[in-house]
Parts: sequence; structure tokens; C-alpha cells
Amino acid sequence: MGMKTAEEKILQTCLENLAEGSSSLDEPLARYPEQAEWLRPALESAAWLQDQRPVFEARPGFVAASRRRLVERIQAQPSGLRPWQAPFAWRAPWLVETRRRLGYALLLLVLVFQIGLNGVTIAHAAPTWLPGDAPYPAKTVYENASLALTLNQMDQAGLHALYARRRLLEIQALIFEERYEPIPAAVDNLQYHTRQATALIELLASSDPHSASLLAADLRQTLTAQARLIDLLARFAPDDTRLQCQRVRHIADQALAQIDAIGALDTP
Amino acid sequence: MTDGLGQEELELLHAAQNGDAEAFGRLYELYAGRVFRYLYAHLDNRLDAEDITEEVFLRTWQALPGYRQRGAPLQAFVFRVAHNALMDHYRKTRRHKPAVSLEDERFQTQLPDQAQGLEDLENRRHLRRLLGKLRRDYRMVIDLRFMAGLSLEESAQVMNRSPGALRVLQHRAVLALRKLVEQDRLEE
Repeated sequence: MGMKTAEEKILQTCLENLAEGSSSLDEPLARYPEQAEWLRPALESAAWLQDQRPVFEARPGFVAASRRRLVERIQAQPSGLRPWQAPFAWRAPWLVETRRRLGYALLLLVLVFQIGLNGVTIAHAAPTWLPGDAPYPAKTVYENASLALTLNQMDQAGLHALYARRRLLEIQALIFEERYEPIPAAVDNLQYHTRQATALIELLASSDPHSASLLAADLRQTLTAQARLIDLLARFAPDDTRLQCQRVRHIADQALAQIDAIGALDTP
Repeated sequence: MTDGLGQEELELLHAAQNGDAEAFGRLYELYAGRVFRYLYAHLDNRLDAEDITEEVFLRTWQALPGYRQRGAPLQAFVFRVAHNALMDHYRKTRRHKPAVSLEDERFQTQLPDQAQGLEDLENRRHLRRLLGKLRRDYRMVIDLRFMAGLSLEESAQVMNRSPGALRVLQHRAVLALRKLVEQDRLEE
């Protein structure tokens, strides 16, 4: 066995013992006295690294909360089937997307028919519904249907920006009403629409920089004003909600950074 | 045991591949902490690390049908997705002005023990600065072994190397870091 190979194996053995907490530094150094000269600094570095691990731990409750969000996001996927379960999906991915759009078109037709029968318009009633209200799912279904039927990039970006604004207003209303449980899901949805809006604006910037700038300016105004209000409201909210408000701030800051970069494109 | 998975993980994986979101959530609980530490060792913004952790598992969920064919053990697969997500994040933030990382400072000041929180913040920044000076593969093995807490074999699977090759790399990485620590102390 070469010298180097032996050193590497000795180090690995000592690291495994260190990781198990079964030895201090003195024990391996006493076991391998001839290697002490190089082994000591290596083990000291390894022990130091191991000691740093706790400062990189996730904050308490993060894994449980984010697990809930992840499962909700997966279960809320528009199609009951996962993309790879749709027939012929492996052959024609576009077919899955077309079926999704047709599904939303049909749903929208049903909703419009129902609206006509009831004499109430979703456009009028929807803004007042908050997450947790019984009719609220109809609002998000309507939003998703509108997006699915909008093929123009600029209009899609506008819709995503509008729905991001709605989520911000809903979060503010929920804090006012001390209804904290639906807030994490609302923040998730805000993040989704904000990311989609900025991504689409960025795409639009290369083909239509003027429209992109206008959309960017509108989104900037929304995020700046509404996120600031949420910062203020956060002071009166419990700890968990305050963390959600920090997420809102983070989402807004990220989007604003991207918008600033996009805004520069239209400068003469 | 198949692909290095325990019995519970194997059952959860099969259930997730059949569309069971709750089973996938349980797998998430098993791996999320390690993935977060791996990412946070690179990023100076806790919320970015949290966002990307969730993104990693969303991507993993979407890639589950292809998982078996590639043959990488599940944890190794997840960490490769994490590495790719990190690279995507770097590409995106290089194109735009990065958000100023006040979040970590704000978060630390809200902890019960502010002084400890700020000390931890400083330790993180110091370690990231040192690790940032290492060669990419040295950095990766240290992040996987010491930050994420993967075993030598698990780290070898992530990096697509033999355990023997990874032992060599680990040895060199630890000694390289030691040199940096000593240089850093001399400069202070």
C-alpha cells in the first residue's frame, strides 16, 4: 500500500470516528503517532468544519412548513394526472399542455354559464374573496383558466402581475383580520405569479422593450407599495406570520432586482 | 436494500413514483435538512437557500419517472439536482443585481440569543469566504462531507467517483483548507 493511500485511509477512519463522536482528537493521534505531524492539522480542520455545521442548519420549523407547501403545490397541479401519466405524453408533450388548456377552456365555459344563470359576475365578486373563504377556490380556478386561455406573452405577464397584486392585497387583509393560517399558501402563490411575471417581462424585453418597461414599471409600483405595507403589518403579527412577511419582502426584493435590470433596456 | 436505500425509503420512493405526494413529502423530510445545509454553505441569503431547497424537490418530483433508468441512488440524485439548481441560481443572479443580503442580519437579530445569532452569522461568512477560495471539486467534497453530512460513499455517488478517488480528494481538500485557515490567521 502506497504511503499516500495509507494516509488517506487513516484520515477517513479518523473522520468516521470523529463524525460518530466516538473520539476526541487525542485518540487518533495516539493511535497513529508516526502520522501525527500531518494528521493533527487535518483532523483539526475537519473538527472545525464539523463544529460549523450547526450554524448552517435550517431554522426551526422550516422543514415541516416547507414540506406542507411542497405537498400542497404537488397536489394543486392543474391536471389530476402527473404529466408523465397522461396517455402518449412520452410521445407528444405538447398534447399534455393542449389537454390542460382545453380542460380550462371547458371549465371557464361552465363557470361563465353558471355566472349567467346566477346573475353574478366573478369579475365583480372575486376580488373580495380571501384564502380560506368557501368560494375562494373558484377565484383561483378562474385565474388559472384565464391564464391558460391567454396566448399573448404581454397579456400573460399582465395577468400574472395582476394576480401577484391580488395576493399581496389578500395577505394584507388576512393579517388585518388575524386569519393567519392561509397566509403561507397565499405567499407561495404570490411567489409563483411574481416569478412568472418577471420571467415573461424579461422574455418580452428582447422583442418589445417598451411594453416590457411599462409592465416592469407597473409591477415595480405594486411590489414596492404593497410589500412595504406588509412590512408594517408584520410588526403586529405572530412570529410565524412575521416570517411569512419576510418571505414576501424577499420575493419583492428579488423581483425588483430583476425589474431594475429589465428597465435599463429601454433607456436610449 | 436497493440502490443503497433503506426499506422505508424504498417504499416511500415506490409510492411517490405512483403519484403519492404525501410519500414524497416524507422523503423530503428525510433529505431536506442536508440539502438546505449544502445550499446555505454556498449562499449568503437564508431565504434563497430555502427557496432553492423547495425548488430542488419540485424538480426531483418532476424527474421521478426517469430516476430508475439513470441508476443513481436517490440521495445522490437529489444532490445532483441541488447542484444544478445552485448553478442556475448563480447564472440568474449574475445577470441581475443580487439582492442585498440584509435578510440574514434581520433574521439573526430576531432570535432569542442575538449575540449568538450574530456570532453564527460571522462564522458563516468566514467559512464561506474560505471555502470560496478552494478548487471547485475540493469545495464540493467538503460541502457534501462536512456541511451536508453525507458519508464518503454517498458523496462519491453524488460526484460520480469511486470511494477510493473520493478519499484522495477529501484528503487533499482538508489539507488545502487547513492551509487557507493558516494563511487567514497570519493575515489577521
